[in-house]
Amino acid sequence: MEHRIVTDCGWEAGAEERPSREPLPMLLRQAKAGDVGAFEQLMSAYERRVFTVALRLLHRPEDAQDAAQEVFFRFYRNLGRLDESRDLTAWLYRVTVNVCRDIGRKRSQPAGSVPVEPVPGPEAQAALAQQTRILADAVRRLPEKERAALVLRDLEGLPAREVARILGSSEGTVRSQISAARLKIRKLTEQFLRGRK
Amino acid sequence: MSCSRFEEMLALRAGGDLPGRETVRLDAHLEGCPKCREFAAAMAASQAALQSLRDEAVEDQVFREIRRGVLARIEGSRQTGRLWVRPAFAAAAVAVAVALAAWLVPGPRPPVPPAPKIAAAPSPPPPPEAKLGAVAEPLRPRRRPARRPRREQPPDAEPLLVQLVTDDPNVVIYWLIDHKGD
Repeated sequence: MEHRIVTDCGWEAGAEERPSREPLPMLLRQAKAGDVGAFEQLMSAYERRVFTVALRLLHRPEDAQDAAQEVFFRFYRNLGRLDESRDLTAWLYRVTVNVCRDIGRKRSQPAGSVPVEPVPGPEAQAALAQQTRILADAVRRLPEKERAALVLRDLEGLPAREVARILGSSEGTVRSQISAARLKIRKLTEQFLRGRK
Repeated sequence: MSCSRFEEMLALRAGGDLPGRETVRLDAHLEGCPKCREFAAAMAASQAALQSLRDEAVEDQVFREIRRGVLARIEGSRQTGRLWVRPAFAAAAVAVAVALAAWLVPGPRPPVPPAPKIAAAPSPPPPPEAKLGAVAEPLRPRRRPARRPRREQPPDAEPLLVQLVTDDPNVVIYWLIDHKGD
């Protein structure tokens, strides 16, 4: 059975194995009351989204894992302050973006130093895998704000209005960030495809 | 409007973010601009490729590790909290017990200081000019000048009454003189 979470702000984020929306406020109440099992279920409901956003923002899986842990630990610490009627998903996205920003700034490794290695295997499969890597690397090379806007809009599928709310900026600013980011991605992808020919 | 502005619009339209009003204007431009039409096709291909990142597979093991790490941190923070609370609670309990004891049990009387012992003062050495064989005059304690003894009044002494008679026969002044002031 497919489960989907429809957030309070009206957008739908496809989530194959996630529970439906109804139990979440109940789980939140139980977690607030000190039920660690309920908190663990809440983590299970959101971990994929938190981790993949962190991975796209930070690129390195170990950094993304650290970021996800930090996000959920902050979630736990702020349980008492979270209103059940509020949009928990948006809150978690916001915390994830902030945590990734902090980790990205602390990280000593400069942008562009992660090499994109050729993937062995059948030609078509290898080309697809390599394209994915090229794209992921292109996303990583984007300026911080453009990257966050692109990840939330194009990879998480949030509407620009919601992205603006999460990032704390105007919708117009987010649109221009998304536009600039897409143009850069296209340019990098084109360079890669031209190089293959 | 330059083609670069339309490229920005095409980038927005590739993801469905271009408002309808601007879409009409863009379509009008595309009809007459093959370069921008080519750009639109490349933009759509790039956007489609970008979507492939959405389906990136993540092993469940990663999530298990995340959960385990978070729960360990939560447990760690609880332990730290308990370690903090225990001594604080113990200190508070001791403070309460001491306060209760001080309130219930009468406190010890302040110790009476011991009476000062009067020790005999050692005799000072003889003056340097004293000659052998000469008898040194013994030091006499300095005598305070004797105070004039106070005249004691008998307890039953009556004050002196002075009667002053004025010209007015109706006015008589009595002056009582106490012995206190001599």
